[in-house]
Amino acid sequence: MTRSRPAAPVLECRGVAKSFGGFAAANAIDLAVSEGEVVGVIGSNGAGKTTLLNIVSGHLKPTKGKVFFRGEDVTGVPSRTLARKGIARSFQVPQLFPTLSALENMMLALSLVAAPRKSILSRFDDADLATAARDALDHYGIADCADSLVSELPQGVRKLLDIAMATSAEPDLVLLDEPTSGVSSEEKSDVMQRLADRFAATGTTVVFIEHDMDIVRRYASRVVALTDGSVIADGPPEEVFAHATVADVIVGEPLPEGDA
Amino acid sequence: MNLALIILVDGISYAGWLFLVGIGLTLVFGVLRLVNIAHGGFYAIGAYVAAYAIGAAASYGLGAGPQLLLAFAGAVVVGGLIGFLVERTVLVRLYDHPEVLVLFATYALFLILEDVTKLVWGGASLYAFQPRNAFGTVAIGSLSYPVYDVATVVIAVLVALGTWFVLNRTRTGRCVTAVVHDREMSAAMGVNVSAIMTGTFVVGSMLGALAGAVTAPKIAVSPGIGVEVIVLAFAVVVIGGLGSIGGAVVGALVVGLARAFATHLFPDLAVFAVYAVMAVVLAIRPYGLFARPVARKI
Amino acid sequence: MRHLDPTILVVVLGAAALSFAQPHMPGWVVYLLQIAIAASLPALGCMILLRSGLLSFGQGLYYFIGAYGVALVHAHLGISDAFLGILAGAAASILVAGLVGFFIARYRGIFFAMLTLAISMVVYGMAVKMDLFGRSDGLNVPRLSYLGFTPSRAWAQTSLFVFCVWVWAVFGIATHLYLRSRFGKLLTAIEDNETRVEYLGWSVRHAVHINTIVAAVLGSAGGALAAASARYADPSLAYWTTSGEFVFIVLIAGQANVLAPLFGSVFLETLRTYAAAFFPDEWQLVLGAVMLAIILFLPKGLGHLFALAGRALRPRRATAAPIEEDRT
Repeated sequence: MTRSRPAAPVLECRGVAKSFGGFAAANAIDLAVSEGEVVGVIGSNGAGKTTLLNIVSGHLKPTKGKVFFRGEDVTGVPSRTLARKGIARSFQVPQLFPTLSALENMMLALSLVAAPRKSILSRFDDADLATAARDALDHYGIADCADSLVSELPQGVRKLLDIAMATSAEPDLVLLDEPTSGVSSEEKSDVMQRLADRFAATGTTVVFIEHDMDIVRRYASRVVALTDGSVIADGPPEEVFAHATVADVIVGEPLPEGDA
Repeated sequence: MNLALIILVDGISYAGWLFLVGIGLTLVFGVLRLVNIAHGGFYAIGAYVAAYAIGAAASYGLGAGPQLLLAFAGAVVVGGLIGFLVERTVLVRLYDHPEVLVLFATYALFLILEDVTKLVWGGASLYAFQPRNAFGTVAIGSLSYPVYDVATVVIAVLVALGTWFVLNRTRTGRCVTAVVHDREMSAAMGVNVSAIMTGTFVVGSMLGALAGAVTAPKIAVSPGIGVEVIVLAFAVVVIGGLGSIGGAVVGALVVGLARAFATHLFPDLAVFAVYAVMAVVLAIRPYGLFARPVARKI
Repeated sequence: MRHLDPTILVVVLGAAALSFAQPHMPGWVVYLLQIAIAASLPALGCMILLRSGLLSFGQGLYYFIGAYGVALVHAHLGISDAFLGILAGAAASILVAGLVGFFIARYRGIFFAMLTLAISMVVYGMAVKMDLFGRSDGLNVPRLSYLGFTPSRAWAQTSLFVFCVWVWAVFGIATHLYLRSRFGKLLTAIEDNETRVEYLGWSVRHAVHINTIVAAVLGSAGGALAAASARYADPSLAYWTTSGEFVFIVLIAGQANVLAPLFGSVFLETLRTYAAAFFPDEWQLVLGAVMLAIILFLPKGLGHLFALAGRALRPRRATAAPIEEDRT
């Protein structure tokens, strides 16, 4: 990416905490992600994974702590501004425009993000825009479904479309909330492989939440494990999975005695 | 000092009236999730029935007490009957529709109710001041205040306490609360949701008609009285938070006092007082003082 | 894209045909059409708000502002020019909607409906007490001139009719272009999924705010035409039942195309004319009953109206070919 400045990490959280009423969903989380990393965030339900993503993507304001994007303080900046700065996000439940076709969804995403290139008042129904949208769908291998209504698409395609729309602006940082949840096990590795190929090709930095540990092992270059809103392990996959609490609480397969 | 007393008494008296007008609206919203514009129509019907009953009772030589009793009972019964018909024939078919469409249906009902009242009672004003005059005045400090207006506040308090008691201390009330909280869950737990909804709408209509009946001896009952009321009632319940009974009490007090304050100190601004308060409250708390914020889950 | 958009073609040909047909139409038809044209513009404003799922019960406010724009520039500046009158109303409504928009753009559903209603009622309550607006009697509107041309008494009616028709044509075409633009699609997308719109880098609030202003300008243009046709402006234009009629127009006509409110408006005015003849005192009853009948017995059609926002009529396969939007 042209904007890369290797000195500052792409994303940095310093002491980020969030509490809802008395419940602490995130406790002083420190996290720095560098250019090109693919970070898998793991943790049991309620460990604070989505809360962390919600804070970083501007959906929630942290109670305490700061978030930096390429060295710039973006704490509490709304999601629409972050989207323009280069932070994209996908959702556990795909956030699409259900009454439009896949192609129209993509066209809308492109016309909003790429607005500077063409006026927002120019015609929506435009051949160049449609071509660009078809290409974007093709990058994720879902151009075949372009003309189907979103409500008629299988879950795996919806997930990919959600991500394709999120990444239409060629962001520097992509946050994925369970990219394979709700996707059948046959589709799972296919979805993940397409994403991995795409992000490897563009050199995009990725933070993804995932419950399927095989997927995490296979695709993450680094793993962050959360429990009760705190980071308990952070490092290369083999190291983190060798951590006793991670194996016991998150993976659910305690390490053999003496192995920790 | 005296002015402060006047403002306070006027404010509370007005608040009592506002609460009576708003309670039915907020109750219906809480359970049926619809803003019932036809509420203004029930108010008008209540006022007409009451004015008519008072006139009829007076012509039979009945005293002020029985006049009022007949007026209130008549208004509540007629309001309840029409409410039942409206819910069973119209609203029940619309519960699955988008909320704007339901809003529009209640607007259509309001237009129909207005003209039906006009057809039944004609376009001229009805006057029913007898009971209010008969009760005379009472001294509050250095003020002399109509007994009837004090009684209005008492009725409002009784209605508030009654509603609170039914919702919190009876089995039916707990079912209603459950439906307010989660309609699907209540149905799954065996609550007869459809009956609760019909019942609530009937009670809401009765309360609207009662508010009209209570007001009848104070005003010239004429076409168009229902319109102002719906806008005011909405302002009151929105300040408190749509669907919240406690909110309606607070909303009525806030608006009542604000209006009394404006009427006595800045008479030209009296019209705005209500809306200014509403605008300020909503600017700070977009869904009212007592509404539960709805979390957007993503 | 190289050929002409059918909607634009219909509007231009229709306006031309009406202009030439005017001298051959009976007076009551001319007047009915003028009033219908005037009322269809605020209804068009309701329609573009409904594209985002927002129901406004307060378009009457801008109808009022547009009407008083014409009346007040005459009363205070002695100007009776039709174009300046419309511009004055439009400028005032941009200002008012610009301010009101900050407040209402964050509300949805019932709240949006009731707050727009409350705001227009405040203005109504104010206007009936102010000499500036002629209290409840309103103000008279002069016979208009057009950029220095003052038609003779015999031609005044024709001139005004032609003016109304072409004002509608200009606003209708502009709105059509607005709705088929990327921003127009964004308005529809807001009803579908606000979260996604925000994460695409757009502010839903700003979009709604802008749309509120555009709807206000349409409303004020209609108000100016109504005042010029009726030759007076009074506060009842801001009354909530006036706003209710605009929503009614959208309700009966659908919202798939900018021409829909025009047909709805003609239907409403025709209904009003006949109801006034047969049921002089029960106009509201007739209106309410027709509304209720539509809501109850055409739920499918109205489902399209409100929930599907006419999108059922758009082709499922979106391609680069122009989308032909049909009227319901």
